Amino acid sequence: MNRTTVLLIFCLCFFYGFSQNTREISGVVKDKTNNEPLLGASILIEGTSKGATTNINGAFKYTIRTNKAIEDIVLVVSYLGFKTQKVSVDHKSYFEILLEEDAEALGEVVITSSYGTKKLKEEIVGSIVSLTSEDLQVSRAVESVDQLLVGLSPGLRISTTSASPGAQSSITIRGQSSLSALSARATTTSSQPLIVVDGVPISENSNFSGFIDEDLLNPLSKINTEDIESVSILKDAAAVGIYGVNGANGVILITTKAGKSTKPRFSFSTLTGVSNSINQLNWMPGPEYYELRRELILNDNPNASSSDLALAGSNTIDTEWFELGTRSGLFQKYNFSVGGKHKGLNYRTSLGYLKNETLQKGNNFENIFVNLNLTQSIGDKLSISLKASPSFNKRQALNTFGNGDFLPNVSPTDDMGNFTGLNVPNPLAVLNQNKNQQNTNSLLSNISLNYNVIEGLKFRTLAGIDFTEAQGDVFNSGRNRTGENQGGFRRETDRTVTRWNWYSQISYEFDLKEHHFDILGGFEIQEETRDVSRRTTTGFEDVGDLNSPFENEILFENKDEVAYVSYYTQLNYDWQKKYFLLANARIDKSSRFGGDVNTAINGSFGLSWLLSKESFLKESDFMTFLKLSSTLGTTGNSSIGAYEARGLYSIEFNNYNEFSGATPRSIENLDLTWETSTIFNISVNMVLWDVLDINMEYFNSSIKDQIGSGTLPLETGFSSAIANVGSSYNRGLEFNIKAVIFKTDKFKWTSVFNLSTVQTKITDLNDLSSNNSSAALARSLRVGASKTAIWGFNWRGVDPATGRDLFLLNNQVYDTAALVENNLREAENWQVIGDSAPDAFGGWRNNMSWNNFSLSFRFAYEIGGEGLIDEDLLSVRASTINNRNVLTNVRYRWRNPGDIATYSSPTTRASLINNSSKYLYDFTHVKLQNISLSYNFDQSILKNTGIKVASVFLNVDNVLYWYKDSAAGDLNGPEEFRFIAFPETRTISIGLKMSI
Amino acid sequence: MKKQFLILILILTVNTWSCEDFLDREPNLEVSVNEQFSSFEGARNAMIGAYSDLREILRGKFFLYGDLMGGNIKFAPDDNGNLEVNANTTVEETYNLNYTVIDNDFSATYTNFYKIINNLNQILRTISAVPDATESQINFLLAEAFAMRAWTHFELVKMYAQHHSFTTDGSHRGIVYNKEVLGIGDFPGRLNSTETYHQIIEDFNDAIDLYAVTTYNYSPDLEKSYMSVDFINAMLTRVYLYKADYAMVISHSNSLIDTGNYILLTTNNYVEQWELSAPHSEIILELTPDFSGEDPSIDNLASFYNPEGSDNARFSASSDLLSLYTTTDVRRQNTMFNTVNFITNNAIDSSEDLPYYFTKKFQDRSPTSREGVPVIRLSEVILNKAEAQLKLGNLSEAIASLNQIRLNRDLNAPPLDSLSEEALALEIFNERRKELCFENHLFYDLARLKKDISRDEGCISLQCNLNYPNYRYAQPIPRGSVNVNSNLEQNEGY
Repeated sequence: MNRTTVLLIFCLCFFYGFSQNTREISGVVKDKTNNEPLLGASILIEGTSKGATTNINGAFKYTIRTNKAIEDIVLVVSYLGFKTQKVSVDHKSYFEILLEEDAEALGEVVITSSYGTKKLKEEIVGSIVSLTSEDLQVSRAVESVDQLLVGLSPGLRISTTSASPGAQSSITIRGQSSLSALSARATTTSSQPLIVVDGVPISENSNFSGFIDEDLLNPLSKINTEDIESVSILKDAAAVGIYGVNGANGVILITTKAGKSTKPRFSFSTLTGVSNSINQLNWMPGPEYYELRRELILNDNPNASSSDLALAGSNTIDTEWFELGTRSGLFQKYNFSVGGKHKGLNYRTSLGYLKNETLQKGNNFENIFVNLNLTQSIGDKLSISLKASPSFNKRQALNTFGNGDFLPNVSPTDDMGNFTGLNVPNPLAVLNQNKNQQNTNSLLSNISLNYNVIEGLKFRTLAGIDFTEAQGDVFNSGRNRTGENQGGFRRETDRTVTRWNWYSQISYEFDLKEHHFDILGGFEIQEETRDVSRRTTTGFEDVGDLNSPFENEILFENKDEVAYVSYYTQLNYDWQKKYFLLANARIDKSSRFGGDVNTAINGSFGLSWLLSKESFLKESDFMTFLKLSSTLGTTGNSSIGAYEARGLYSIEFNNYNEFSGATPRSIENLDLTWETSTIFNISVNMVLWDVLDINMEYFNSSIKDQIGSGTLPLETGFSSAIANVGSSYNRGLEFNIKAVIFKTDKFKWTSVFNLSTVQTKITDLNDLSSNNSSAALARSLRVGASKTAIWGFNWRGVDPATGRDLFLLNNQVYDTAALVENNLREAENWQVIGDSAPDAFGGWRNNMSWNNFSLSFRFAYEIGGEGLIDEDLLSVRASTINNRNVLTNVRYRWRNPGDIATYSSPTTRASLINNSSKYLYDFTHVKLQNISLSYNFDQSILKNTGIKVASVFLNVDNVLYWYKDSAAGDLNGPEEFRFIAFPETRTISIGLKMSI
Repeated sequence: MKKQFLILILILTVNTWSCEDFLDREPNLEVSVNEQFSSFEGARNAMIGAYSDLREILRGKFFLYGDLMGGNIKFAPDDNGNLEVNANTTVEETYNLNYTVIDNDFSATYTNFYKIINNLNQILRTISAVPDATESQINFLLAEAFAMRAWTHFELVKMYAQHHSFTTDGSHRGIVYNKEVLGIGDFPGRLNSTETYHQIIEDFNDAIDLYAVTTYNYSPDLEKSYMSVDFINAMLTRVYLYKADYAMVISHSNSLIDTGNYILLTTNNYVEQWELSAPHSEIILELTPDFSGEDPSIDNLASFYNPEGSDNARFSASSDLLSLYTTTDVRRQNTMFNTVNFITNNAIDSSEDLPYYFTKKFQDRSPTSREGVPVIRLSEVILNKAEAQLKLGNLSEAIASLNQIRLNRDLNAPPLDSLSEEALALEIFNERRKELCFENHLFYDLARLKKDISRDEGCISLQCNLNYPNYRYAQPIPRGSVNVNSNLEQNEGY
């Protein structure tokens, strides 16, 4: 009766009968290393989804019913994190199965969505990369998981350009999907993937609301890397299809650890590291700076008086500002966890503490993590689980030394010990007198319920929340330049972001003869609110005065709300575990978009074929595995501000007689809709001789309705609006090669190499689209060009006769003055001079083990990809040189006619071209990002200590760099410019891990 | 048990979630269009917003345009004694007659006028459906929105098109006349001058009809702060004069004058009445200044003409204007102007202490007062009527009208009996210049009378004179609009 009802629900009007050979089998599944029983291991009849799972004692019982010969049946025993084992039934009816922990971390069972779906790796149709905690190397001296993901997965690019604590990396999957923004104001969608932690999508830092001067904490900082069990990276339409309108940038699923062993297992780990800076910028020493400044004055006025020349300052003082602002960094991390199973309760809880006293004096980062993970089984049908991970972060950001570009011929303090007044705030004064603190408390939590109605039919519901409250307190003392004008200035901010979701779904997994079905359907609601407030006050001379009366209190508050209602469904089908089909559909309704277009329907499907199961390959020793997959579907990107589609009025109080006037603030755009990506993906995965695992993929993502700044006719009353302005594509190739290079009992070497390419192109822009940014930003949107192209003028050297920059334009050489005179600096004359996205990128990681030692080293690389350096740093003008130091590159400047030089002569009067290829640097590089050596204490040593596992390790992060265009000697090149705000750090750390 | 559970699942899954409510998210700091127009109060506030937006345009450099271009204004020196076109007010291109499509001072003004117009169209579109509005209230806001729509378009056609008689049939380019809320994807085109004026007059007439069927008003005490039938009659005398439809000028001026609501200032009270910041007896409409801002010295008209003010706001009267007054005219420099001496550099190393004259029209004696924007007043209506009478050949009636002003300003004004038509036209023109100076008229009068721009005393412009006709008699349409909209034609010459 039940079965029939269910079948009706799914509109599947099949019927079939059962047959015939039966045998009752039973057994136990244990961990081979410690002989502990494993709960929840699955025992399946090969080629079907029939089978049993183990109970708390690792035991299972099952009655085989088949029309084949029972002796030929093979059992597939799998458990997450362990190697899958195949056992043939033969004539046995009791089995003791010892599973081996999967050292290569191939993660045979892969989490394919946050809706509770898992699949064996070989059965996955979509493009999903799964990484375990071993792959990630969670015990490294990093603040958050994004820094561990560099170079690990094809298609995933993490770029970090700021070394300040808690800074956010830019994460993209398969290239930048959005158009490049043409101004500092946010007018495009985010290119950041959706990140889902244990079923809860986490909120992204959006620059659509809030304040520009707020320094937002990396949202991944709330997850302790040590608690991470696995990370899945979902890339193609079939993989992200179930995420509908929020999946276009890809999805990253993070799953945290749960208790495994039956006995409570206590684990402890610690790590301590010291860091120093690498590749810092080279500035002019004081006396040389003085000479340059003098030269500038004389160039402007050859008859300069001595009082004019005195403006050049001291010719002896040489202050190394960077050194003054730096210390030796100290990184510490402690983690304690306990996990296990007791009766029906599966538990794990952990406490972590991380402290990063960065290299920059006054910049500190502290985090306390708690993680609680409970699953209670009630009977064999119902289980309820609760996960909660609060975290408490404290940040201090007082360092304004940056890269140390201050006047080098000025002493930091005068004879009396007072801080010298510079034209910019004296960073030492800022460090001593100001305050800049941010406390962020967050809670990531979910509660879920699973109910197995009947065999194969499951109900699941999950409610999750991501709550973050960040309180900032910035005080600029009246005693230095930061707060001088206001007599001390304080800014207190409070940002509360709450994102919650609730989904309910049913899934039904069943076989019809050799046809296997797994169907899922559910609905989800989501809401995200951002509440920001700011209070500024003035009139405090000193930090000590903060409790005294204030002046000029200004309060500001704003709130954004976004809501989604979605329906989703997924169908997994396979025939004989040989042919697989996956289909997804999702309907999203969102408050973000215009009334006319607020319902999006996205869908995808994919096919894969396991050729290695076909008879012609079954016996092959060479080709042990071969799979072909192809998927196609649509997905969306709706990450824009909450009210961009609305026509808005703003209210001015009492501004006309006694009335409050309401005036239009933004134009209504009822047609505003999400970006839709249609993604095609094809992949081949093969394993040769069981040692070489090769995966190749090609993707093509066509994106339409790209959101950008639309230019409006002024008769609308507005000059611009967020609008759907064009189309583009991202396409590329991905390779991942995993090899067991050496394998003996004692020595083993495995290696994983990946390479990805991404090419983007704008294919269409409509009449609305704005086209050009400022010259300093050097962005332009033009059909046929890359989305990440850098636009400007092709520099052809410095004219030896005049010292002016020369540019090639329309096959003609112009100098700077000619460009200015002929009005040629306009954006229509810009050409593509570079591209900020690399042509190819990837990583190579190696793990070697010899007896109890293991060594790993990992590389990450990028080929192509340029950066345009702010010309202010490299040109000598009064407006900049009077306020700060210049780079040593300027030593190679033009002085006299006939000089062959790179940099122009210093003069106040020169007009400059910001977006000149002269300031463009190729960032092609290979980085040895980590070397890790560890020693596992032998069981013979640990035997009587009560300690089950113990290891010590040594880590070096950011070991070495190789840059293609590395600058010679005293010059600055791409290695220095890539991290312009503050140089990168190299950290050497040692650590200990043990568990009892 | 299992059965009930299944039903529960079904309810949860195939539920009829009322997602429309859940998805309806209203912004917090701002108000969406739908919410704004969900009550009469909201709709009224939108109209109030239109008043304040319009005031913000009119109290700015827009109000200097007629006098700066025409030659009533000259710059007083800055604190260093230098005579420079005041950069901070950004009227340099205008003053130098050097405006181009790329560099001009009024591209934001253009957008701001259309922002008001779109707001008005939003009111017109939605007011009838506002649930709590009475018919009287609906008619009132319709009248207000029609009247201001006409007015704002009139200001635009004056500035961004050649004057109406530029072609004999008014077939030259007028402006974009918005009668609907423009949205993304709308690319409007321009009407010709005749069509534009037709629309303006039609909107004004619709407003008159609607004012007749409403009893609502904002506030009976402040009626000079808001538009009215009187205001429309007065404005129509100006509109018809610009359109050269003289019979209609006379008809509407009579309608206005016959109300008896407005009384001409006299030689006895002229200076004193102007010095008060409250609207005087001639004023038909004066936009109220913004009292919500903190600093009274900025954000109102007084800041341009305050000699004690910062040195970017020193717009003094030229002798081209001052020399027109007789010694007995109440409006002359000694009575109607504040005299302040400034050190003035004439040439290198030579400077003199020279007097500069600042009109008292927008200066209260109290330093904390704020000045409203006088939009139209009785003297102008009478002068409009005089000019219309002249154009219709009724010289004696024209003289009678003109004398109403002349004799109330200068008790010793000589009689005007034996004047030729041409000489009388000049008299009327000069009287307008003397009476309406600093009220944004002179350049528009020059244009419609097809006169040359001729700026002499104190002129520091790169180009002081401009002969009629010239393409610069109309400002260019901002390129932001022409570039994106192929339906929009630029003014000739740009």
